[in-house]
Formats: sequence, structure tokens, C-alpha cells
Amino acid sequence: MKTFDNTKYKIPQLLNDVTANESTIAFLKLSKIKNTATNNFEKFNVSTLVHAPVIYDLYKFLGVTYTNNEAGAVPPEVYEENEAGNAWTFILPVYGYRVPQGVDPVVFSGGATPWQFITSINIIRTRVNYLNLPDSYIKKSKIVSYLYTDDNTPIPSLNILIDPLSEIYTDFSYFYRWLKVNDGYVLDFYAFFPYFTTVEVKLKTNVYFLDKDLGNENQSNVF
Amino acid sequence: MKINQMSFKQDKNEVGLNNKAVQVANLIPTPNNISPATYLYDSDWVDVLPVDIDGATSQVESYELPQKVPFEFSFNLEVPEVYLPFVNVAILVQPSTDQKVIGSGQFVFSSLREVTLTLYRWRGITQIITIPPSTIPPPTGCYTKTLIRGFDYINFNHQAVHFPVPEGSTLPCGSTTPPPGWPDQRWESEGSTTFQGYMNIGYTYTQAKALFTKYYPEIFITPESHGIPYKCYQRVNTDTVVSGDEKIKITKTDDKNFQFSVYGNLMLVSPAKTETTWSDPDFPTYKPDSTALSTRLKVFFKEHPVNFIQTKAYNE
Repeated sequence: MKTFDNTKYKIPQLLNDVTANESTIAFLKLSKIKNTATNNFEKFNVSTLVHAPVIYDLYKFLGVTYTNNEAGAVPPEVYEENEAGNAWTFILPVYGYRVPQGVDPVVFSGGATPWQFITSINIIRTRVNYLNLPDSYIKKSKIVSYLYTDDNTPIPSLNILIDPLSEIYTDFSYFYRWLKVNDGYVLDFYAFFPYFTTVEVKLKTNVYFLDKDLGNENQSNVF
Repeated sequence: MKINQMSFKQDKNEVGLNNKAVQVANLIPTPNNISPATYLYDSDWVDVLPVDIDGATSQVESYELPQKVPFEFSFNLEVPEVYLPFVNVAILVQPSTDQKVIGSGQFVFSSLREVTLTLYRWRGITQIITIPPSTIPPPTGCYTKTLIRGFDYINFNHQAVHFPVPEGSTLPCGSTTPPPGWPDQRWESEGSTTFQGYMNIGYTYTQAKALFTKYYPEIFITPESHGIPYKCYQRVNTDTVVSGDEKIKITKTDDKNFQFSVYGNLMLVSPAKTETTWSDPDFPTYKPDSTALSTRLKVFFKEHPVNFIQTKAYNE
């Protein structure tokens, strides 16, 4: 019968194969384990914050900051009278008075004058809602911020003195906080750096969740 | 016979393959060895000078007092942007034996404050001698009536001129506002005065010392032998939390180059040993006594974004 014939044939053939395998295994050498480094973009997730800078102009007040003459405290709304009613003190910031870009500081302050322009600054406030984000994600998160220009133009010095008394400069600074909410986390990101008319300095901020997938997110620049 | 032989050989082959597989498994990297820290930058040791913190002084020699140590390191990294979250920086410090570097701490700063008294003058009646029945003038509690030889002696209870009131206390009776219908029955402030000021209005050192000691516990008065001006000090303790900080500023200079600036303040704690020159000889003020601190910045990759692909293969 054919089947029998085939079986008869197969057994010696299989034996030969097995024997051959045995010798093959004996000759097998392990290849070197090759660890290939590749960027693994699936192992962590990146969320790029969408920044919408608000530009302000900073001014220095050159007018009367203290007077014993009521007629010199003009407009009265920006001066505080002492208890005895014989001295008036300017109540707005003398250095670094912040006015929305393009607005006249005299108008913005309600009539105080004169003001001297110091510089302009970017103020960034970005809020990101990460919904359904567990605690473990926050522990493995990292925020990286850097300044850049589109065409790699060198960035001018950011260290512009605003307030010589308190030694406040416009140097780049940022701050962020995580707020736990019922359905996840909220990231509030704040940054501050000079605004130049000669070169556009931009800020990029990435939030990395290492070894994690990102939950739902939505962003806003309105608090 | 052949089947048995074949079965035996097959079993042997399987054992052989299994052994090979075990050897391969042993070579599979573990999490401990797949990504050793890769150092990118090392500043080497640099000396930095501690800076006094305003108010970090004490009248107590053994106090540990903090100082801040500003540091700033700058370096360029040529890495793809995607590597940035895996760039880690470590500030190393090499304190001397009496220095400790900590992140933050709560300290009791002690300082001296000159003590003052406010003096008052009584503008009203100080004594009435009258035939009973008599009326005691207001305010309540300012007068005592005594009957002597048929006459009522109504005396003001307190020193009418230069009456001292310590800080935080109130007048023993009455106030600077007179009671209705008695416009003169009131106190008038003579202003606040120091120990030396009190002596200037005519009191001796001994009288002034007795008065200030009566009103203020744990005060220090400069010895009489020191001469003018005499001072009366009170120790003031302030609890303050002091923290160090670290900031990283990154600027992208081209597609693969990032300029890092790592700066901030370390917090250094050292024993208060140095008596400052301006302090009064009897009430020394101590400041931290520290020397330069060595710091070092190391920058390294940690937890690379790298996946190790295992090549599972045999070569003949």
C-alpha cells in the first residue's frame, strides 16, 4: 500500500534528517548578540505646548514719587496720602511698570507722567489639561524648554536691568506646576523673557512622559 | 530499532538546542546594563565663594548658620532635540569637614534690637485736698482717696512726668483722649526714648537700668564703664526657611546644538564662629565661618530613548 511504502520511506529519511541536525547543532556557534540602538519613539510620548506670548512694554517712572505738596500729587489716584495728610507717595511701580504693548503708559496709569521706556517682554501662560492621567505619569514626566530663533540668528543678551534697587532683570525664567484635578492633571506653565524687535526669540516647551503613552490633552492660554 | 534510534537522537537534539537557547538568554541584556550613564560634559572642580544671607547672624556662638553659594556652568551639547529629556545634570560638591551642603532648612536667626520706652506726661489734676464728701475726678482708677485729719487727700496714682510705658503695654489708667467734660484729664505722649535718651532727661545709669530691667526681661545693657552712649538691647529670634535652587536655561543655536546654562545657589551650613567687627564687644554678633567650596557639574544621559533589538540567530 502506498501509505505503507511512504512510511517505510519516511522513517529512514527522518532518521537521516535528525542525524544531520545533530551534527549541525554541534557546529552551531552563537552569533554575537547585537544590540542595535534605535530611537524608540513608541516608548515615550511628547506633548508640545502651544505658547501664545503676550507682549508688554516696561517703563520707568520719572515723575514725582514723594511730595509734601498736594498739588504735585497728580493724578491723586496714583498717590497715597499719609495719616497726617501732609505727604503723598506714588503707589505704582517706579521700575518695570508693565503696560500692554502699544498702550500709552500715561493713559494706562490714569494720568501719571512722565515714563521712560525700558524694554519689552514676552509673558507666557499656558495651561494644558491632561485628562485621565494617573500619578505614575507625572512621576515619569520631564519638561524641557528652550529658546530659539527660526533661522538660528544669535539671541541677544536677555539680561536687561529693570529694577536697579531690587536687581531684577528680564533674563529668561520659567515656572510650572502640576495641579491634580478630578479627572487627571492640569499643567500650568509660566515663562518670561525679553521681546526684541530686531530678532524674534521663540520658546519651545515639550512635556515628555517617559515610558508612557499620553492621555487625552487639551490646551489653552487662558486661565 | 530505527524509530528508537531516531527518537533518541531527536531528544538529544532538543537538549542541545535548549542548551544553546539558555546561553543566548544569558546574553540578553538586563535593565541594569543596557544603558549605562553616558557622560557628556564634566566641568571639573571649581571653587565658589559662599555669600552671606541677609539676617543670617546670631548672638549665639554655636548656632549653625546658612550661606548661599552661587554657581553657574555653561556648556554646549551637540545632540538631537529628542535626546534633551534624557540629559541630566548633577551638581557635585566637595565641602570641607565643618561644612554641610543641604537643599533647604529652617534656621533661627538671632539679632539685637535696641529697646525703647514711650514716655507720657499727665496733663490733669495730680492732687486734691478737700473736705468730705468729695468727688474723685475721672478717669476710673487714676486716683486714690485717703482721709487724713478730716480732709480727703485725692492723689494721682502714677508718676505724672516722664511716665514710662514699655512697648506692647498700655497706660495704667486713662488715655490720651480726655473723658467728656474733663478736657485736661488725659495723658500726653512725650515720644519714645532709648536707654541713653532716658538718662538724657535726668535719670542716673542705676535708675535707668532699674527701670528698663523691670519692664523688659532678658535685656542686655552696656556696662557703665563703657560710657556714653549706653545701649539697652533685646535679643530677637526669627525663624526662617532658606532654600537652595537650580535653574537650567537652554538656548538652541542650530538644529543639533543646544547651549546650556545651569545656575543657582547651593545652600551651605557652617558653624557660627566669626565675630563681626561692628558688633558691640559685650554682645558679639556671629556670622557663618565658611571657606570656599568646590563644585563640579557633570552632565550625562540617563534612561536613553534607545531600544535594544536582540538579534536572535545562529551562524553555522
